[in-house]
Amino acid sequence: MHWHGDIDLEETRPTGKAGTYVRRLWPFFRPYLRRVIGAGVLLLFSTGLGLLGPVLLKRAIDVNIGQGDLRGLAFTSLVYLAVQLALLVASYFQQVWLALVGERGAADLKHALFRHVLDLPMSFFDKTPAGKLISRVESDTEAMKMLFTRTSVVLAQSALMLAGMSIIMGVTSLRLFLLVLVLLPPFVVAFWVFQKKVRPVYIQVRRTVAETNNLVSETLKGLPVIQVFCQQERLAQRMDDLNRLKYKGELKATILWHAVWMLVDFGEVLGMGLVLGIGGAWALKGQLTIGTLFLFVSYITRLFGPLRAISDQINVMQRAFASAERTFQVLDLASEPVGTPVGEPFHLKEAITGENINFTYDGQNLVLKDVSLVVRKGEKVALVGETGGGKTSVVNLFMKFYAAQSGRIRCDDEDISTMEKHRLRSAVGFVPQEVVMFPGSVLDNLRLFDETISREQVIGAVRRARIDEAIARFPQGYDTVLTEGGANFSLGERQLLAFARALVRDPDILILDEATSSVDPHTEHLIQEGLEELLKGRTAIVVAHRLATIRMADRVLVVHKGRIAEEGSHEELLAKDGIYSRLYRLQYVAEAAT
Amino acid sequence: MKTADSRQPTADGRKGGSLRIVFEFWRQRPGWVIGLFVGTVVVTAISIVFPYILRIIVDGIRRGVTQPELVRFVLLLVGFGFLRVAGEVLLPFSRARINELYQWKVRSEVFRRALDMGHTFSARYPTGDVMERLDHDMGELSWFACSGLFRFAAAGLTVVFALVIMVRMNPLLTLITVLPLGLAVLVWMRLGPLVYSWFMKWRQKISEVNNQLEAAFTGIRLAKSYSMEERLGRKLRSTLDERVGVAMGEARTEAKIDIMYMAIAGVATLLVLWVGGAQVVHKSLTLGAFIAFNAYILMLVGPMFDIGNLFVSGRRAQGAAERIDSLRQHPPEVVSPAAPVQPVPGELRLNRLSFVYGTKTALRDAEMVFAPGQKVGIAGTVGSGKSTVFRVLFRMADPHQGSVTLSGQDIRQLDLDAYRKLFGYAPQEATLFSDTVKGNIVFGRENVSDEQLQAVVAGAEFSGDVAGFPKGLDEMLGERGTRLSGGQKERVAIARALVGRPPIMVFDDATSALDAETEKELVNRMMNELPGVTVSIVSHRLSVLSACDWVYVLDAGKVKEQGTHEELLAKQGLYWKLYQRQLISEELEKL
Repeated sequence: MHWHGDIDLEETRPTGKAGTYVRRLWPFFRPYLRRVIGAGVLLLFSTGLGLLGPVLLKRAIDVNIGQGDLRGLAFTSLVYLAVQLALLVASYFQQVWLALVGERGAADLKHALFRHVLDLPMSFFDKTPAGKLISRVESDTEAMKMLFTRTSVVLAQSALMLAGMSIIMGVTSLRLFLLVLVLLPPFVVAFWVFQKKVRPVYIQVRRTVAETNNLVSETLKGLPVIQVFCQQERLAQRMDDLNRLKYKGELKATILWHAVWMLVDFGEVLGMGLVLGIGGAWALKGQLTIGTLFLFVSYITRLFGPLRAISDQINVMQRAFASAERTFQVLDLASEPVGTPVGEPFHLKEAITGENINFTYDGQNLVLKDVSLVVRKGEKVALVGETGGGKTSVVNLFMKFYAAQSGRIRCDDEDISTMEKHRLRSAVGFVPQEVVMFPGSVLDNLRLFDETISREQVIGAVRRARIDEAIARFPQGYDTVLTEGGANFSLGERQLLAFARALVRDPDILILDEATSSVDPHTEHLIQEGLEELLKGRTAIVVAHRLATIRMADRVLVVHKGRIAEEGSHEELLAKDGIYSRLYRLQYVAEAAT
Repeated sequence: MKTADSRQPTADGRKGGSLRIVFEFWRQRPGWVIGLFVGTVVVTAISIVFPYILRIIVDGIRRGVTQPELVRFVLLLVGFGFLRVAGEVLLPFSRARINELYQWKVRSEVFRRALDMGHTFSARYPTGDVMERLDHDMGELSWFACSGLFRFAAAGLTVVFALVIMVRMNPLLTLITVLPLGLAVLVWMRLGPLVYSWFMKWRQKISEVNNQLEAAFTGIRLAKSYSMEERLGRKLRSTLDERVGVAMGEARTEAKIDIMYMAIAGVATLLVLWVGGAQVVHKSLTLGAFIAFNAYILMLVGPMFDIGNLFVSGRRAQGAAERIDSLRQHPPEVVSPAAPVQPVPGELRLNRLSFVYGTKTALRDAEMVFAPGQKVGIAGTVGSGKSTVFRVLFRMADPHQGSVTLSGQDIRQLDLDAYRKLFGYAPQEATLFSDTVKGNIVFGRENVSDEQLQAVVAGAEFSGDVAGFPKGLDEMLGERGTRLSGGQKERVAIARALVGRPPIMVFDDATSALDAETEKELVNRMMNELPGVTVSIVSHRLSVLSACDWVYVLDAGKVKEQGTHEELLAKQGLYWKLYQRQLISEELEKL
């Protein structure tokens, strides 16, 4: 459960009006309007039927049993049976339909949110950790679901029950009803006071829980330091203190809850006492029937339930609104620019050109300074340089993950800033440094869920990437389901899979961010072969780390401190005794040292 | 985190496991068991009497009691009612309270044990997993530990008591009406596991959704570059649809259980109405008894649910108990010896020491000496075994072969805390805690005077930074406080190591975020200001090691070279190569 704990830390207080949230959420539940209405009707129906039980029993007591009418009793019993059956059917479908609306609506909401997030610009992902995004999509939507399934039902049902019971009681015996009514106001006030009191306690408890989680996480990560400094006892004490604090908070909340329950139950007893005492006296005088007393006693035990349920829902609603607030904050963010759509796919004819590019991620530190470069069709260019020098930023800009502050990048004559993003990206095979595997089969991961790509195409690419043997190792071959992160393949194999992924599409342009991790010599050899195959006949920009890879390039660009500092072939650059020759020596010495 | 007493069953957990961790708790508190049980008996008995009083009143009214008699009865009813309410509130309250107490005690205990754990524990239980167990599983288990067990007891007692009274009132009617109620237990035992299995499937789907979300968000560059947005959306959509299907399976089963209960309660009421009503007409049952019967039937529905639920919630609790207990039972890497010897500061030595992680050898036949007052540098590439040297030095794990000795004494025979207190340690990644700057430096040690504190802060060259904080040394760090830069964090960690001037200092690449000049200056000054203190230092900048008396060069777990900085350079071996790299990097930095 990745989303657990994270939400506890957030106490977003809803700022908008309840109506705003409901209005914005409504479109997600709107397609299921018919079920909603159906469930509403059934709810009305079943609540009504539920109220009928005591009325029928009253009739049985007063009319049938009272007059010794056995046939009448049988008839009333049958009606009771029919009512019960109808009630069962109605409440079954009402429950199931509402659950369906809730689940479907929440699924739609999750899907919409997910799709929206995927279209957000890369800078959003830099700022927002994946864990937080997952909790947006998962937990917040679940909290909102409650609004439409649980809260709405409870509120409607409670209101209906209160109204229904009031009417029936009023009609049966107005003065007894008025007597009961006297009891209500103090309870309503009590609930309200309780609400005010319990909320801060819960917030306190949630804070303590968050603090406890934080302590556990800090401690486990800092165990060596804690142990060397012999601080185990102190931290154990801290944990114990937090646990005590949580215990006290929970206790306080529990006391409040139980106080309210006690109040409610006392109310019931008092009500019963009133009904039986005063009503009983009236009954003795023959002004009331015993059946009426029974009816009132039955209803009194049901009267406070709805009140309590309503007050419970206030908490649920507040949390749901906080979730809605967070969700809409994300949904209101602007997607990355799509660009102007053009029908036909892009094919590179001449060159990729970058002119005077200046770029910063944070608006302060320039990571690329006045960079210009040309990569002609069919040319293979290696970008080399130290980490943080700006190599990856060049790739990021070309892929339209970010937009440069000034300067421009063109593919032939088209400025990529106006080019439709999918048109550009589908001309490119991109192999990032970290090989990402998606949950699914090997085949899914090779064609990246694009079912227009045939199995044969995939198999061909796999052969060329020299990864066919590794796949054949599994009994299910291409249909093998990957374990998390693709752990059933070795690091080197995963890189070859990433090559195959690019080969499947046979792209014009190849962008490769070479992995730095070292692999065994055999795999190293396979990777070199795979890479040659991958580069063959393509225009390529390679962020290169291995000497062998650099040697495959037609031209090397040395990216140093945000500028292209040197340019030329491996030999030319070595002869220069500049940055490249030092990078080379560094690499050479490193390889010799291990 | 729900530990209120009334809890709806939603299934979770794995099969098997033991509830040892629950029974241990109760075994230590026999008084509570008796108290709760007696309380349960009393409260159940009072509740059971209540409908009986109702019966007396109704029959009284029917018979035509006098007004004062009626008042007496009603007062009796109200009195008993209050008693019942008090009991029925206090009992769940006590249970809820013990649930919480249980959570507190067990969590504290498990956490205390985790504090002594070493690398095998961390490797086996990732932080998130431990948090999940201490939070979610703990909530699950603590509910069962008290509420689950005693609600079951209360339910059993209610059934027994109610049956006794009902049989005494009218055996035939009891037999007829209670039979369908017995069905409720069967229904729950049959449908309960079904709910459980739907629930497990549902959790499976949730984790599938989560995995897809995680892969998409962490692999967003790839997703965007291959225009996968739409396809990933469709994939998620289909998993979500499956999830809706599973959730609906669960909802349907739960709805079925709900209506089964309603049906059973309805049928029982109908039988009372019909059979009992006829008996009232034939005068073999009073109207009061008829109404009381009705009340008893409704009183029995809930307990049937609790009885059936025990089997489902018990299984879940077992799973949770097992997950929590396994944390508790994990053996610590090292323990202080039974008859500890007090350490005598002196020469610290690694004697032909080997250390293995699983199958990977991290140190092989390592021989190293840390003489008192000597400044010892350790160099080597990533993964050469530097950190493992410190791990065995601190006795966070014992070597597989060879030994560490202090003044000739095997450290395994020394008092663990007293031994570790000889060290000051600044780790590779400055580990700071959500506390004030001062709290992080003093770090729980007593009798640290303000002068000492100022001295170590100055020693770590952190005084200037502290002066810049609004609250100085009392500035909060972390989530709700100031965020420090990498270099600042490192200097806090160094100040922490300096407190109390321990005889052995270890700096494990603790100055990497500082620039080369500052680092060298800081290290040189520390070395000079710590005469008589043994200092062991690792730095990725080898020029720093020139201040050391002796340098060990590790390669693949072996001590490959040793000597002074100059000697090692003259040798033109591994150390020299590492140094050359360093020089080139520095040149590049300047270009």
